[in-house]
Amino acid sequence: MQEAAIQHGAARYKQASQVTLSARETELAAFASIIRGLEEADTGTKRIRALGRNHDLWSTLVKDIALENNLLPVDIKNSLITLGAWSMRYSTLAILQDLPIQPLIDVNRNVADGIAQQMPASVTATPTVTSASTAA
Amino acid sequence: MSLFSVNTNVGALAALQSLNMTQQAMNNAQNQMSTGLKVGQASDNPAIYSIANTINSNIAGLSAVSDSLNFGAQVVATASAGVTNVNTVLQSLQQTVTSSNTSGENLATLQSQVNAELTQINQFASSATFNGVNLLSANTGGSVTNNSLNVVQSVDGSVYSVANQVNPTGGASITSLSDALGLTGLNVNTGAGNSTIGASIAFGTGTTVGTTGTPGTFVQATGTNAAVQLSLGKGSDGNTQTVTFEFVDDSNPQQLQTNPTADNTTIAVHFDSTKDSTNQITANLSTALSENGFNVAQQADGSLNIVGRGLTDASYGTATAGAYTSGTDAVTNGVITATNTGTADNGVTVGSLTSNQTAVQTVQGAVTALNTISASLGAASQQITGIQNFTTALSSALTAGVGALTDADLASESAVLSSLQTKQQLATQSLSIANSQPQSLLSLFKNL
Repeated sequence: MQEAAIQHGAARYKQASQVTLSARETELAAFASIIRGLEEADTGTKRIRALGRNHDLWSTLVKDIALENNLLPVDIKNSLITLGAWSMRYSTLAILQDLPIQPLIDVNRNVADGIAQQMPASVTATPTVTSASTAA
Repeated sequence: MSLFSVNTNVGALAALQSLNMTQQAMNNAQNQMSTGLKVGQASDNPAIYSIANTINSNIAGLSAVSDSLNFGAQVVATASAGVTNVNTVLQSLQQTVTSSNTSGENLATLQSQVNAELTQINQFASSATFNGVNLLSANTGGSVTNNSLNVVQSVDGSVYSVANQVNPTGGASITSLSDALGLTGLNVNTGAGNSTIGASIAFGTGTTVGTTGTPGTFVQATGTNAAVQLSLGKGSDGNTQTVTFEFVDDSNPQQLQTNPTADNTTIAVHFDSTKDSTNQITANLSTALSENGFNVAQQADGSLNIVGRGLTDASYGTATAGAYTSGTDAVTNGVITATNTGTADNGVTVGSLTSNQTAVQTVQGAVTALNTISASLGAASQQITGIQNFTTALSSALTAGVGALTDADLASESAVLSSLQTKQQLATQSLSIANSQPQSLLSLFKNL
């Protein structure tokens, strides 16, 4: 049922992104989804998958930052690559060993908060998401 | 391994970092031993890596290595989780086959329980698939596209391989985890492989029924009954439990001779020496055995094959004056077939269990085999951990080239602190993180 909820959410975000193509909204949605997955990950396969998806998120971000046409200032790039390298490494190690997941959640939440704070007020009101969900 | 339990505060940061360095020094030594890679070299000599001009592609390359390592970690951890589940089933299976040695258990019920547990073992193995890779699958096919694992371990494309854990040699005879553990066909009464090991009873050549006192008869003398005794292992009181089947001739009625006790049950097998054929008497014994919880199969040669109730031994002999006496020429520890009939002085020959594995031993063997798989996956897990640490050292060296934060190997508290600074940085500008290819993030939702 959580799966269904997440799928529904993902569908919503896909729809939303088709309408608005807001990169920041997509990023926030990705972080929210990954954070939720990590919070709900208890043991076994569920935990492994949640950590794997966290790795995928950061891998995607780091690869984008590594591209020449990524326009972020170099100091932010460096910070994010450092965080990303840590998060990817920690995710893999936590899959193999019994490490606490909370630091990954905290880091993701801080980065997501940073993105959310920079968003213009018109976008943070999320009108597009609401209309997309009622349509679905 | 990093430090987790220290509360986050700025004052602790320096101490944490220095502790982390100490930890890493220890880890490096361990890594060097386990991986054979010179972990220290990458961070000691960053100049050997071409840094300045290729930094971006190297970061992308390292991300790709990290992807591969993470993929490998997920495959190995999924297999390990599967093994943990299988281990739980094996404990339960062990209880099931052990209880089959207890008198009074319904063997048919226990056998169906065993069958269900074997199915469960194979289901746990087949569900240990991640993105088509399953180290516990004997063969590829269906949702399993690979049953071994290759992990790209460095930017030069070299590969670390993890073999299939169930069928490493690719033999055709192993098609499942239960095959590999030697459990397929496990019979609660015997061992694996549907063997027909058990007590085998045959009536002697030239048996004539009812000729008192003559070899080849069922009634040997007044007050004496021919008898078959089956041993069932030790009961809760520590004594060997027995069931004694006495042949009682209804044409010359005898009372049962063997005293029923806490450790012995005496069962009458009725026949009429004036009417019944040898086959009929065999059938009567077969019925009595079945009624008392043994599984009986009549072989083509007419002998009875008996298993069940944790049968450990069997003998034939005589029952007289309240006691059973094993026959002097009882054959022990050998399967007696109908061709061995000459040894029976009362017309009944009895074999006993051979040295074939019992069900309990079979399951114990499976536990050992599973432990080996578990240890092998543990070694693969350590190996990937070692490679991951090496990659981190390399990553530190690369990011140093552009004046980035060099401590990519932060303790988790430091990472959280660092992310707070990143939060401030992000809030002061207007670009999203993945602004060069914003669509790339959508792939994360693809497999939800």
